[in-house]
Amino acid sequence: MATFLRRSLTAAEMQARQLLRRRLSLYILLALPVALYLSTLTNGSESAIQFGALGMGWSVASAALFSVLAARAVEPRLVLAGYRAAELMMGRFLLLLGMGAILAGIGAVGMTLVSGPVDEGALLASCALVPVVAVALGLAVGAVLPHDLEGVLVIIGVVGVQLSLSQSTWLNLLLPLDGPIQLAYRAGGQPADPVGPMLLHTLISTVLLLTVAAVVWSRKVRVRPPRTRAERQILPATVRSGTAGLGVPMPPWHPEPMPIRVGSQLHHVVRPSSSPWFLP
Amino acid sequence: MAVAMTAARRPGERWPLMPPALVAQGIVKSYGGRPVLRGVDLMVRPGEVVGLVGENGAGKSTLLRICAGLLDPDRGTVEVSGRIGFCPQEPGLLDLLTADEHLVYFGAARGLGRAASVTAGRRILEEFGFPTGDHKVTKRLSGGTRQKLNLALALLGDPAVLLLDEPYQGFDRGVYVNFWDHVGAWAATGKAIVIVTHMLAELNRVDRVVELSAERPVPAGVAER
Repeated sequence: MATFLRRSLTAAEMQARQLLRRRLSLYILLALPVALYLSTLTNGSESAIQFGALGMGWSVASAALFSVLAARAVEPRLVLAGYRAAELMMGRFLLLLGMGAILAGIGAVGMTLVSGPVDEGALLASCALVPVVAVALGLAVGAVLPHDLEGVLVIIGVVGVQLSLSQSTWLNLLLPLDGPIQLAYRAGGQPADPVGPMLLHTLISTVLLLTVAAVVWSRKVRVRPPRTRAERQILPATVRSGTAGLGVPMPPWHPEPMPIRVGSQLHHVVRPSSSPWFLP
Repeated sequence: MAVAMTAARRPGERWPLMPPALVAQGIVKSYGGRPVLRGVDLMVRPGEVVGLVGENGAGKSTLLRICAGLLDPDRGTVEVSGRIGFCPQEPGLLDLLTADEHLVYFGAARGLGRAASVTAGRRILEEFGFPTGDHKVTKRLSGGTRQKLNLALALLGDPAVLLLDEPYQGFDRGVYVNFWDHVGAWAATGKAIVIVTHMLAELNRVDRVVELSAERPVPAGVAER
């Protein structure tokens, strides 16, 4: 357990270092929810808090998506080096959750000061839950879809549909961010669903998305561990080449030269004795 | 057709009593119905250096990735004794981490602490002339310098089996020569080494050359030694 935690924290640290060096991305991640919130606020919209919360979800989900995609080429090698896929995933989850919490904290304070929400508890709950679901959404989309363009389009689609749907539609149930957004409606003094089902919806969405992310990602980065040879095991002399059905016996491990199997896909050429490599 | 040559020294002679470190048997792999590997066998003993050559698309990198466990064969088995160090052809690095951070990241996977990872990694890097005092992120490093780090990560933690896929790309002349000297030194410590290479001039520096060809197998009965 200690090893799992230590490795997860190392993975989180390294991913945090990378994220902190992408300053422009960080500024945009912060600017996106602020822009959404302020634009609806200046229009006199009563749903500015909802837009702000949704903007936070969009930012965090996008960050999660790109953190998965950026590591796609490297993580199989890390797993080969000794990490478990779950450790890398946990590290990423912790990092993104921390980043989301900071963003949500800033958002909660800002919206409380500017909008003066009717239900402050609902605002806090919304800001606390948005990053959790958004991280899960970004991780799942990043794990399932092969390229960044498809992933971005799916996240834009989810956010866009969430924005365009009316509150009372059953289709809201299919959208993972609906629970926190309903809480944002409530915070803004608009009619919203009861709190209990919203929390349940959030919990189910998060668990489902994290499960998809963990299962798919684990499969993508898994290393098929070669069978480990016993310390003093001797390769049986009956092992046969599968090549071309030639049935040429593989040599036992004792120091016989490997055969030249002409016509097979493999040719073993023993190096010449003139090489300086093995001169005494 | 391959040419048979006589060996004064048998493969693995340095460690003659040791069982093979890597045994791949009957490896079959196809991509989209196109066969790439058709029942390939490969055995490497501790202290042995095997050069894996072949034309483009013959399946060299595929075989190495299968041996590393990064790719599933359609058929066949791989057995390894000890840990694998794998150096891919394309440096699998994180662009926004420094060399030291890579060492810590990969070292943690091998149970090394921060200081131990950096110390061990820098020792390897310095052998290849890597500027260890330079704390640039890897995207600001030259291709050859990135490749040195790529190689060092494969060597970190003292693996028993080294699978190197054209590991010297971008190396300048001096470091390239030095690389082959190091291969001999690693083999002398008992590492089993497989190197995918196109540098045919260096094939006299390996114990065995294994050529993967795309040609179709001939019918049974014409095999010869």
